[in-house]
Amino acid sequence: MSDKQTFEDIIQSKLSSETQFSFDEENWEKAEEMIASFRQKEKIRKGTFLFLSGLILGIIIMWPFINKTEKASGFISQIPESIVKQKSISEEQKLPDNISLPSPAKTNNNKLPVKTNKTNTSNVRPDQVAEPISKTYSDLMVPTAKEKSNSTAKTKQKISAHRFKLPAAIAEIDDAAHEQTVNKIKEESKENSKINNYLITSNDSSITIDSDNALVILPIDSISKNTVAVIKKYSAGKLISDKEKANSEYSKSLQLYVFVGGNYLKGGTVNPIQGFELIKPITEHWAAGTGVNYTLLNINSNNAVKTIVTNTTYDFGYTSDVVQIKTNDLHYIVVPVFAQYTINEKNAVIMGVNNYMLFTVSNNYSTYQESYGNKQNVTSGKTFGYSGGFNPYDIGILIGYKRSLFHNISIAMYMNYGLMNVKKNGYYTDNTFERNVSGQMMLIYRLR
Amino acid sequence: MNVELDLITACLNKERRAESELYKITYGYLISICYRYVNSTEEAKEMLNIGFLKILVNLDKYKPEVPFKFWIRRIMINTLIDEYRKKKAHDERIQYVESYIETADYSDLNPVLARMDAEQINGLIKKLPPTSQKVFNLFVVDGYSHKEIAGMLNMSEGTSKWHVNFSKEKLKEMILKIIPTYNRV
Repeated sequence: MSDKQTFEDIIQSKLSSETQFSFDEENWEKAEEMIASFRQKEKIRKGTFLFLSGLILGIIIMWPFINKTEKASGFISQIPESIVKQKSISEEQKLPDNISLPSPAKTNNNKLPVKTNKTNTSNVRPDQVAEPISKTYSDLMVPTAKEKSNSTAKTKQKISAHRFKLPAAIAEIDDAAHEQTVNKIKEESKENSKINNYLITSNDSSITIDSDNALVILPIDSISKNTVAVIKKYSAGKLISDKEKANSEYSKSLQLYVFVGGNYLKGGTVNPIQGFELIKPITEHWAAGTGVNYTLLNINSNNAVKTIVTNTTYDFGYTSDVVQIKTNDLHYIVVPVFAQYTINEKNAVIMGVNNYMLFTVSNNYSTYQESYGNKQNVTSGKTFGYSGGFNPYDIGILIGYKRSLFHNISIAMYMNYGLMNVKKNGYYTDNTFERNVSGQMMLIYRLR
Repeated sequence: MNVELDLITACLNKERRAESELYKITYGYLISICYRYVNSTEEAKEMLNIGFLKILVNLDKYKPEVPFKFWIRRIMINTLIDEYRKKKAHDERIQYVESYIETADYSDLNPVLARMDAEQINGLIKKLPPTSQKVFNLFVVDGYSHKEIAGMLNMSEGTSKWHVNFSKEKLKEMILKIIPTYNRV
């Protein structure tokens, strides 16, 4: 055993032996509290995890149904606001229990037998007593595109001429006329073959058109010019307006966006982010996107300091040449690649990856010579380009949400979770700054 | 320190009495480790509790073929190093040394060192700069290699060696100052 080993061995043998410490009951109580608190937090964490997992699972399971509802409501949203005031048939508008649906009446000239106070007085409230009315089925028939121009004014006139108050009377349609209407609706709505059932509402009543079951129930007192206008659109296969249709076709083309925003880092700093995005719609809901943006990670921590010390020992003493490099910002060019799912006109979610490429690093440096605590020849300054110790590439998972605010302007919130360590190795001392985890909020403007 | 497997099993079942018993059995051993790495008794007790919690949390990973004493020592030292890294002063200089060759001779100190007790040696080590103190303890007392220390403290092996040598130089200076005291004894 050499003398050098002996020095270390002596210290080891003296210090590694178990020193006698008396048990501290008070410290055990503190430890107990700590253990209890940890287990409590662990329970909460597990509970939260289970709850969120259940919630996500529930959303995934329910998604097809939610999506279906979105489609239906999407149509309703296109009906003029004036007639979308109630989305379901109110109790008053339902067929009273004591009124049965009569068998199809055999009438001439498609005349609709209308229940009046004479035939069914028990179902009419005093305030609903109305003048006898006779209405032909052709009045309710949906005009074809050809008839449209001629009949619009006429229909409006007829409808306005037949203002009356009746209980929710049922329009009884003879078989032939009924079939003719349904066939017309089906034929003319081929473009909208996915749409089977609509609830069209007006100010005071509802109309259900169910093309599958070939049943048209038209509460007579619900007919207003707005309702007729909706039926016309339906029959002509124009469930969306020309403008909306144009927009729809337009939306299939490549879209270009520019954005600016802030990138909030886990460490607590907010840094600018700006760039552009290209989005190509693929289906009604799905689109693929990419782009280029610039952002920086502001480290600004004394932990990201590299100090290189070169010691020179002389007979009369020593000097140390010290170079300190403090990293301030990592500047990245980011290329996101993502899929966008459009939930409806206003909302969309995205998921994808961010590819980070480190193109430069800004640093503060200082150099000096030190000897027995005395510094001399001190120089300092700022420099770009010293990127030693950091990974030149990073990749992050990107998820986000976009919401349309105004015409061509949207707001977006993205979350980025870096998958790689920003640091290349243990060159720097701060272990906590290893991943680029950030939240981004941006204003997006659509250029085309 | 003798810890039965039954006691470990009971701790795994989160039995409070067993946990208390394990704490009592390991207290002296763990606090002596803590006391070497931190400067105050209060801090040592705080570290002990954090380390003990980690021992309990990771108890299911313990393999009986490894002596329990070694296993808890490793957890305790890792805890101390982790906490040190969290609390480390930001402006502390980090030395980067590619390689270091030690040439100094300390054999003349051995007789004095042999006459000092653990408390006195520990008192001198505590006067070292924090990082040097940790590296010296890890290398000399706890037997970690420079490679392991470099990984634990995010430094190069050369830096670790430099810290050990720096510590020894400083200890030598301190011991030389107190040698007259020993000569008088």
